[in-house]
Amino acid sequence: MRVMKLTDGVTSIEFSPAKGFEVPEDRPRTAHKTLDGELYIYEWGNKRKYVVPVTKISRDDRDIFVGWWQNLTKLTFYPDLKYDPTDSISVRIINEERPLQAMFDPGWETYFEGELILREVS
Amino acid sequence: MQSVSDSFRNNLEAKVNKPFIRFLFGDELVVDGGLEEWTGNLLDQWNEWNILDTVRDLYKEDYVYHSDYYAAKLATQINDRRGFGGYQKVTLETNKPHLVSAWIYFPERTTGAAYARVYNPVDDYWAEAKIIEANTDWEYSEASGEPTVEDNWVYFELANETSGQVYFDDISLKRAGEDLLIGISQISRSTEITSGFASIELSNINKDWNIFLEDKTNLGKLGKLRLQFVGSDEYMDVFTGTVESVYHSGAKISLHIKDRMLPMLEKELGSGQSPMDYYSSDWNPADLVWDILVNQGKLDPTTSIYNEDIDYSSWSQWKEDCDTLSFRLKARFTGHTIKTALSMIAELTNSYIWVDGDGKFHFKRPIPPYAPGELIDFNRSNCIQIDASLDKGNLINKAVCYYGYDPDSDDFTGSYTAEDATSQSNYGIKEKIIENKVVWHSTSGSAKSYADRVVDKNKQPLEVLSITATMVGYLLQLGDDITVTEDLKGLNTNPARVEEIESIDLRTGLVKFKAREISDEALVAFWLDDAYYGLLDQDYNPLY
Repeated sequence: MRVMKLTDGVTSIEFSPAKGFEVPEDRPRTAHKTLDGELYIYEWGNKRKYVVPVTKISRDDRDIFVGWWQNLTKLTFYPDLKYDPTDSISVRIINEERPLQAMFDPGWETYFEGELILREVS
Repeated sequence: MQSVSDSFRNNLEAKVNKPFIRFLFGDELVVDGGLEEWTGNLLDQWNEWNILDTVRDLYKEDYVYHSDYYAAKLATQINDRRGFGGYQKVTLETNKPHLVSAWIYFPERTTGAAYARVYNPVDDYWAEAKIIEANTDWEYSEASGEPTVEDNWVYFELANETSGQVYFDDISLKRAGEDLLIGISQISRSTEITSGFASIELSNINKDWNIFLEDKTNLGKLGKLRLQFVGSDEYMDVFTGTVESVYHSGAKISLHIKDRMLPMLEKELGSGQSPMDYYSSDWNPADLVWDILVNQGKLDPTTSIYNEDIDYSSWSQWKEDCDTLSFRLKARFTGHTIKTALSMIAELTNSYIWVDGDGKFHFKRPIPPYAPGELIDFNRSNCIQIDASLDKGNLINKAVCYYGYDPDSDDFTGSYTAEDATSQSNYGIKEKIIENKVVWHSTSGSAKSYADRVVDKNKQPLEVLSITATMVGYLLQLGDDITVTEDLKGLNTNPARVEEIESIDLRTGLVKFKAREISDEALVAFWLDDAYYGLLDQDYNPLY
């Protein structure tokens, strides 16, 4: 299972993306075919965005994520701690609403799930 | 054509590339970033830092510069590796992204690094634009970051250098919101003088853009949309305007940006009761436009390339071209807007006047013959559509241009008629009468120059090409000559002139424009003094 890590330099949280996570296309792209069939591809944007579905997040970890979201803390994100442990980028959690809600599944009521939207920052 | 480096052009022409649009907002925060204000070898607006005369020194440089007249040169002769240069204090908004940039030429690097960077005691150097390898030409460098305190210092600096020298020019520090641009509209550049509007959407998740609610004077400040490529610092400004309206919706903010010149262009000149007179003497059309823009429109009056509102070099060239063609105009405005006035003058001189992506007025009067420089060829490999149309309706083979209007007697001195017999026998007489009492040609020579051109340009049906091109089209400006190759329609490097740029789409990268086949070469049999074809020019005159 893929393992990710978010850290503000003091606190670190390791977590695994839930089903549905795909390594995002780095950048929005447009493609055009010219009259003679040549394919032009423009990849737009210089910053990446990750949408990471997560589940079974403890209340403590949830509170830390929410704190980071509220304060727009600049974080270091390790997208694949297991196979590429040195690969990291600076991100912020940019969810439009407070991230992560309580789970409904029986036995998991004290845990949280939802999406973390991470945006690369310079 | 926009002037860009070969690598930028290659990026525009590449089949796979990574362009991005950045929105820069607000005023320049550095005073005299152009490093132009000197007293001796001292900069007026910058403090010296660690300068030790003749050993680590700062010089006014008037030979090697990136823009305008001067650059700053830093040179060291000792090996103590201290940083030195110049600095000034700036007050910044905390926790907001800022972009520092500079043009740096570092031909004699040995060990050092050249920086334009921003410092405060809490964040240390939090944004550093730097060049750390020797280069052979001016190179742009930039960096962004966020300060956590208001008081900051901008440095331009040579550090760790043992014996080299470096040149700095055009240092800039601005608010930048490039990280969070999420939506963008089309912009257009046509015969309408201005590019009109652009709308953009920005994420306001980090509350960066509450600045409009907090300080409403921000609505008067300039914003720029800038095209760049990943991995390169070179850029092209594609739109410059002031924020007209702001909509906050959830965590998004939409900004409606208006061409910065639009409010000025809506100003009325004179009235029926008290007309604005430009008819006591003859005007070179360029001088007339200058007077309208500067004295009525209150634009920057600087008569040099320093001018912030008018592209002085294209204006000077246009003025020279108008002189070559003996254009002389007079005018009397009775409540016409500046925009109408400019459109009429452009029409009566067969010229293009427009506000380009840099937010400045540009001018062009295509004069044949054409510079043999490299024209961009639009063909099946870089266009997704090339349509051609032909319309006899716009034919003109007889033009009567009245000149020398006297508003008091409501009379013209006379008229000049230009005709083309061949066209008349082919298509019948198609006549146009030019009798404008607002702006008019004051001499018969001027009227002749105009009427001849009107007939020459329109005496035969000319193909109008509607082209949708890939990003290479971003290079185009109105009045540019191009060639078009389209086998299916029998076009084989046919010369055409860009008459309208309908849209520059910043979402898809595509550019739609209209170009018209060129037929006006025949008008001028030869030039006496033209840089390329002039008989007096050294390239062609064997007596030189």
